Amino acid sequence: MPFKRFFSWLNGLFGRRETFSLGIYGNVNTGKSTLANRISVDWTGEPMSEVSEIPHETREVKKKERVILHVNGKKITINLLDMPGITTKVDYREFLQYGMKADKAQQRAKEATKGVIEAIKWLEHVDAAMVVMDACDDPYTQVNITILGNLEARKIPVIIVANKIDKKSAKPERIKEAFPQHSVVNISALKGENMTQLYEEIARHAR
Amino acid sequence: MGVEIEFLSSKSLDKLAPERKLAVIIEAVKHNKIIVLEEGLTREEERELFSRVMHEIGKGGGFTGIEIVGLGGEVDGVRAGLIKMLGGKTKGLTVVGPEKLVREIKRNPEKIGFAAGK
Repeated sequence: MPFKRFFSWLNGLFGRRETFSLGIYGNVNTGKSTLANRISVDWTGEPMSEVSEIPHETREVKKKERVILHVNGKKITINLLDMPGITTKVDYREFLQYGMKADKAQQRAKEATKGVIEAIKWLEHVDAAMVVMDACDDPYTQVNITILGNLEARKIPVIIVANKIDKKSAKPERIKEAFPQHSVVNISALKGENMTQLYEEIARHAR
Repeated sequence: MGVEIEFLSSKSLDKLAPERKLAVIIEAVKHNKIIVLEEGLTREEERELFSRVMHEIGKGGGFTGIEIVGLGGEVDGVRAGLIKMLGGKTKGLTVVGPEKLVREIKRNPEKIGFAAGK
């Protein structure tokens, strides 16, 4: 085991890491699972997460291991991690509006809180992160600032994904203005717009 | 229902261990108070606060979370040491309130607005 760890350290040191973990972070309902599915379908042919209109559909970290991307002649192997949405509030009554029964809604809320805690713990363990923001919303939220601040503090490479650009009210330029220090890629995960640009950006960050 | 606002000075915050600081904030917010921290939270503390809030919501009892907004970023490293030596502050102001009570948050890098009330 010590030899395995030593060689893994050597690989990382000389930039030949075999795989790297790529976490998909962001607020609730920004389209993280839609993006995870888009990437997974593009490169493996199968989706990896359930998608729903109801907030907190992803309540545990979903993993897709060894997703192989071929970008500009470069082969990149990633472990893709679809994280539960990070938030500072969860109210089961919100789920009742979607026709859910009270006991189910309470259970969902409880699972959602555990999911947020799990996603926060993972902030220390990813090699790179995509922070997904809804291009229709104000990007300057405390959740976004806290996620980015923690990734920056650990020097974890970040790609900001301005998602949902297919919507009429999308203003992705606000995201670039709010976080000028980061690469921002405008996409529609739902429609598959600009995915090539996103894959190029992932390849650029892969060490 | 009135809104109670509590100001915590840098001096009083410095006396508290990080664990205790977060416990004080959560306890106050659970009692429907809005807390203004003269010297805000570090990135680590914010992250830990989010986790603890989730623990509290998970316990049940009607607590549904917080709204939080900070003004000004955190300064690290040598610069932070120098600022502290000169008596300055290395972290911006932070406002935390109960989610149920906060109607709206407006922010830009230099200004924050926190509208509360039922």
